[in-house]
Amino acid sequence: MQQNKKTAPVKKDKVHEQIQQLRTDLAVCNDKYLRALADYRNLDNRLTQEKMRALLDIQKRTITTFLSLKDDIDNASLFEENEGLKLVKKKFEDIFRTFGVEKMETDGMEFSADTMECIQTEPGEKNNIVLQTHEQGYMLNGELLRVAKVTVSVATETKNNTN
Amino acid sequence: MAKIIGIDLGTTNSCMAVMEGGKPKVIPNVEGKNTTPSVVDPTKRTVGDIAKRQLVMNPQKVIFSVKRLMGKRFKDESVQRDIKWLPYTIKEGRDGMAVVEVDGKTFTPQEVSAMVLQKLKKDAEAYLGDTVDSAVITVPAYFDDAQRQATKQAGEIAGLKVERIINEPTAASLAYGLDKKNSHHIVVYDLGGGTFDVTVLELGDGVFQVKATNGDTHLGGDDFDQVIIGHLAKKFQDENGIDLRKDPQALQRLRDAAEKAKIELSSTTETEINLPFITVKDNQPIHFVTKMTRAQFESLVDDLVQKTFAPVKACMKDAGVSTKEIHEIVLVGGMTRMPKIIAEVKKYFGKEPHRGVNPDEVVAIGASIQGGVIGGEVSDVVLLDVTPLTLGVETLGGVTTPLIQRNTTIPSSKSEVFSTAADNQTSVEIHILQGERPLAKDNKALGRFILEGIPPAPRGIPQVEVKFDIDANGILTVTAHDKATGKEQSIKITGSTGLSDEEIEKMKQQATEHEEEDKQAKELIETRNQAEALAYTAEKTLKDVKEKAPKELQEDIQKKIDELREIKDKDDKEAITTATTALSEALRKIGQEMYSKNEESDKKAETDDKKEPGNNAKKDVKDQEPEEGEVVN
Repeated sequence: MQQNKKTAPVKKDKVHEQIQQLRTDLAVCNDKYLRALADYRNLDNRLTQEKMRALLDIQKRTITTFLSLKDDIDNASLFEENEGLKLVKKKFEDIFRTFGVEKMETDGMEFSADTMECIQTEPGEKNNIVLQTHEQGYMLNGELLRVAKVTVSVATETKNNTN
Repeated sequence: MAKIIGIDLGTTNSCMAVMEGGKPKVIPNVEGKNTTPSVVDPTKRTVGDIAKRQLVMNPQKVIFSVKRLMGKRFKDESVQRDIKWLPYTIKEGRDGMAVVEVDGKTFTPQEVSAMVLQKLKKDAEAYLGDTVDSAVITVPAYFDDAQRQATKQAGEIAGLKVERIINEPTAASLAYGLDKKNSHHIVVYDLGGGTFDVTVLELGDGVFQVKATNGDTHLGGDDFDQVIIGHLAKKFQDENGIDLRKDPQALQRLRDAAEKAKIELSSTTETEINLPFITVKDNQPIHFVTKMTRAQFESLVDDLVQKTFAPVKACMKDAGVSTKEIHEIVLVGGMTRMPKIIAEVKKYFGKEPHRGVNPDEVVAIGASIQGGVIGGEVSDVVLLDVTPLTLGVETLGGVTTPLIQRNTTIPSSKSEVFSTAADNQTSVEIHILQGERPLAKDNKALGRFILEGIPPAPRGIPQVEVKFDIDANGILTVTAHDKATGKEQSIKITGSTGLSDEEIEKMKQQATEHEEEDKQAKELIETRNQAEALAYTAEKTLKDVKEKAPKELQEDIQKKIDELREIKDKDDKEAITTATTALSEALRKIGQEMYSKNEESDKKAETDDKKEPGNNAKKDVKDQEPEEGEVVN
């Protein structure tokens, strides 16, 4: 009997300890599970976003390759008075429009580094005005497709100062 | 714990990466690009492409190559050299350190670099959807303490806890997992946009030690572009007497074409430069069309390529090692994609250099791996195993139908519904197989069991769902479930992934070796299965039609069924296909016969209906259109 009395609390303690251990293990596992689930959801969301991004990217890349052809047609129309060429140019522009490609208005506008790249400066009356567009810029559904490469004015006074 | 990102803070471009799920991943910036130009307008705090686009406009306000000034004194020889060509103002700041001045305000190189880091941090946060407050930043191996300290300060200004500053060549070696290899000496050949670095590393106990480093601070990809531009411009001038370099628009197009040609010549042996309407002469447009071969390009830039080997030789000498003692070579920087550089490096060291990781991103990737180690991501990563071989069941004709494809990350579960192959079949045998071969006999049998008690039904009607469930320990449980009765039988296989590496490799090899003959054998079985299915359908049709079809046609079909059955178990695929087609044709005839009979009887019924009201007049039945509401059948 005495022995029993002595061993009983030990057993109880052990069981209690085991329960505590299991509780801790369960909490760890539960935490890991929730983290894995959260990670998965985040990954899933990102994959959806990346898929959209990738589609847009492919579209952008494909259209961008045709932009140099469009530049050539634009250049050709400056020299050739040809009805056929005019029609080709118009067709090109119509196709671009269906994809949401928009030509940027740059000449005479204020320079914006968000959509333009300055490749040359020239003295002018005002500062930061686009004097000439060397390469036409384009937007695709409101996103930048290709920056416009431009000549920007530098007010004569400013230019002298900087010099 | 928030992620620790790895940042390659470059002279020309910067790149960042992060460890995700135990793998490094390059983080794109908000503009969608993997690298960001290390260009800053400090007064407007614009960074990257946007700042770069204003470089020509505001050369004194837009800061680039600031890395060259990091932790340097104004009087340092290199700073004095750089002042001569850098368009912005460099002054002596506090403690004699080099600072830049823009619009009367001074900025330390740390502050300017911090703006680049801030953008990277912000873009990483947008990408990860989490705050980023720690980073591992890389520096060139030749950076002294002051330069390293300055880089650390830049990180801190940007709000990043710099967990570690590591050498760029070390990061590149980490990206290739060289720390786990038993190699001693590693050479890192780094030809970036504007600088060239070569480093000899010694690896001991997982620690990289820089034995020697050398380089050229003004040699990089831009010089290669300039050579092509110069060559093309000269060619055009010789032909047309016009220097395209004087026309900014033409020069811009030439620059784009040169870069495109350089990239294309890394994968093709010839490229065409096609620049219509490049300029105007006497009011007439002039076009520029020329070809450039890889050999031509290589001879043009040969001097530049050879120029990199003087620092390489000096570095090897300083390190006191011979080329034979070099175990690994790592290539870094976009220019190392050029086949000539790869060949020259290989020729010099007598070894194939490491490739595979994008050379523009390899340093950032290595930094992110170091970040992963510090953050516990690398060691604490849950290693999810994959099934080394495909798991499947045997189906009609001894074919293996795969359920879990090889390399599927486990735990995983897949199920598929199968049916019976014969009429009134009351049991199905589930034979579980492992391997890549199409035929069951060539794969490893893992186990089999029988599901009984399927109610008698024509072939193809019962629905038996077979589910494969493989847990994280590779224990496979296969369950077959009859959807009609709910009867279920299952088996647990513990050794499904317990094959040795050699066995797995052997099985994969056999699958590749026997690919063609396996394909033919599978096709033969599939042809047989089709033949059997058609013979079965034909027999059923004969039973259904009975006297509705002409006797001779029925006899012909029966004859063709017998012929097909006789031939189908032989190995002549062509003959089986011919007999199957013949039976199929005959069946089509019986179908036509039955339809035309139906049509006739329909018409007959129609005519009879018309006759019923006692109208004896002979009418052309064909012309008789049913009236609205009239019942014609």
